[in-house]
Amino acid sequence: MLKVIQAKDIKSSELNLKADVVIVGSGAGGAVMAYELAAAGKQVVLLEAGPYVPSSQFNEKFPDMLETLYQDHGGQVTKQGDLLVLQGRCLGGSTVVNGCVTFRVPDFILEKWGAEYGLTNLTPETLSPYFEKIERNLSIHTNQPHEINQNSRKLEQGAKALGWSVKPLQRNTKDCALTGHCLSGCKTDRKQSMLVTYLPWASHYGAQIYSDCLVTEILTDSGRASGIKAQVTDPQSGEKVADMTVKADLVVVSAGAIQTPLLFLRSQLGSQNDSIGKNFACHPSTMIVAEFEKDIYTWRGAMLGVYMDEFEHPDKGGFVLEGGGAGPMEIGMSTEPGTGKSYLEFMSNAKNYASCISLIHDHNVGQVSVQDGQKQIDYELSDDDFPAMKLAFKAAAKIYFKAGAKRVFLPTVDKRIVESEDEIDSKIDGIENTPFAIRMVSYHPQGTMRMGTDPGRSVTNEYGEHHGVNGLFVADASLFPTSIIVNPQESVYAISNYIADYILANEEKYFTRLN
Amino acid sequence: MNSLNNKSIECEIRNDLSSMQRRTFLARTAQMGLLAGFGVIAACSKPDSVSALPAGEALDREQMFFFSHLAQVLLPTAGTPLTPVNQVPVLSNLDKLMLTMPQSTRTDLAAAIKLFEYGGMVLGWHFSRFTRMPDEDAIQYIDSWQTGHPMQQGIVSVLKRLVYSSYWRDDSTWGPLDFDGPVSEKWGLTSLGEAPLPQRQSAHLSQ
Repeated sequence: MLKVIQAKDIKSSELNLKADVVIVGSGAGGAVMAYELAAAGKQVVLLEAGPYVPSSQFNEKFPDMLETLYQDHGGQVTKQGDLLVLQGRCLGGSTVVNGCVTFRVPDFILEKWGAEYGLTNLTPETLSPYFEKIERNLSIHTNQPHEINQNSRKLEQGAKALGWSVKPLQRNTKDCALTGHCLSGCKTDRKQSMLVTYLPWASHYGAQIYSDCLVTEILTDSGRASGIKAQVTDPQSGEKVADMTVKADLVVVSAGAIQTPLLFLRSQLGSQNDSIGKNFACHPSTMIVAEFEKDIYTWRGAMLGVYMDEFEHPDKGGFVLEGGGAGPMEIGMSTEPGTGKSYLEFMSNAKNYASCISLIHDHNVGQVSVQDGQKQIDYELSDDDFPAMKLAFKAAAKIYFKAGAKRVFLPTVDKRIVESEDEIDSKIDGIENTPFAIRMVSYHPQGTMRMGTDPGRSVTNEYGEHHGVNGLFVADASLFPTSIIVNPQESVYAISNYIADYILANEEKYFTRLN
Repeated sequence: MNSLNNKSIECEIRNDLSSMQRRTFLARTAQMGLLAGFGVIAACSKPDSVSALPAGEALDREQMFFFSHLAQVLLPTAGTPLTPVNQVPVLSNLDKLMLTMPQSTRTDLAAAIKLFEYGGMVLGWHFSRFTRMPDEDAIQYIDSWQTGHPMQQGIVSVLKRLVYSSYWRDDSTWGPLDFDGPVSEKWGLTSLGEAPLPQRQSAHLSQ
């Protein structure tokens, strides 16, 4: 069993630790970093703000797990109040609660990063061995036929009939049991999350892993990172258990695109251009639901089966559709079928619905900041991105009608049901970009600690190191200069590994204690 | 709804909500779009008066009464194969959900409930509070908010989601939908545990 030091294990009110490197966050970026550095002989301390919840405690009831495993008990929202931002807040971070979908960052995105942000080091050729390694380690594979459920088959059928590109997704699962409960954590450890892979591997090489530790400040000394301060809190009572200080040669922050900039801002570590927390993007996603004559049982089988990428490139629309299943409650909340009897009638047909998730390549128009001591996420769907959202709705509706749908329910706050193919344009063109108009959720916050070669336009350099503080690295999705349009976990793993290799290749520059 | 009334309600809402710095409750229940309710207690049978319902831990008696009426209107399960709403602990689930929210969110929600409760008087819906409207009027009133000012849309969406999630969260509501719920234990699945340590391998660093 994974060795984790939790609040309940701490008997002293003050903890003072020393290490070669302290890592903040145990998700995709932090866990990979911890393993790579620990395996290379470095003394690693890894701190996670959330609790350690072993998979045996996952009960496959999404409401319970939202409250247990997610940031703000599943209630992390934007300032505007109409976008929920879901992130894991537990040991293993979002890798524990995601839908297992993996993608390499698309080549056209890397080209853009090179051309516009000077990241010419991050080429497909450079990153390819990192992706290959991650894919081996996490059992990433293309969904096999048995992993594509009836729900995804409908998306596939309609897209193929239209001549549009549709492919099986890739997922980091081993012998998937097809329970459909990915977002509640994988109870039987088929999902190769950090909880069952890189964290125990890092521990094997001596990394000390703490949960319940909220890092409150990054410490610096003469322009160099020197450690962190943290607070250990009992996750049950909310009471402080201990103050912690970790002195280290190197600090790596991998707390995700919302918590990472907040930590920098609270530590008063600015950037030359004052851009920490800015350039927030999040792939605002929606669920489009279609009713079929036959039973679909969208919640049965692998949660995500196929994706339609015909319009992935920004020149073609900048969106993808993923065949994503959901429980009946989630389906019922994704659209507005009417009030009273009409709502109940809609719900009574839950097993006849197919659903897909839209992801758009949104612009970096948001900002994460500290206001009156509190976190604030400021994000509105921009008018530039709104057309992509509507194109995604139209494509989904066309696909579903081609696959034989009786009607399509749009993800709007008002009742908007497309009864036939002829109605698609008129029903969707009538949607306006106003607050609350569209029912959106974000699973992919990105971009608040932009990576780039120009200190005037970015927070970190091309290796994730802060432009102004030596030995202070970032390794998570906040580095992405733009949104990457696809699920980001594999790209975070690979870039974190890349940064770890950079650190090790330059260890004399960073570590006072050399092995 | 005539334009004067539209304007009037907009002013009301804008004024009353201007103090809401953090409308987190509105999206807190976007979460409900992904979830469904909690535990156990009172039924949703329509009380004769506010005093017929006890206060919860988070909701006061008026709010309990409000949600009781709202649940009756939103979930008319009588005559359907669905689990009768009065057999599901909707109010208890709602109350427990409220306890997980920060006080600021609960304060905002209380203001939104008041706006919705009394909005009918401003709009001329028989000059009635929501909880005194007959079901048919109540449905029309809800639908008018659903297509109204964005803030009205936000409020009514949240209120609906709170009620829906508190109903569907209960295991007893799943059977009529053929929803399987948790399956791993039912299927006798065993844990694969931690993945074996990989062989040390270095991705080539070309920098």
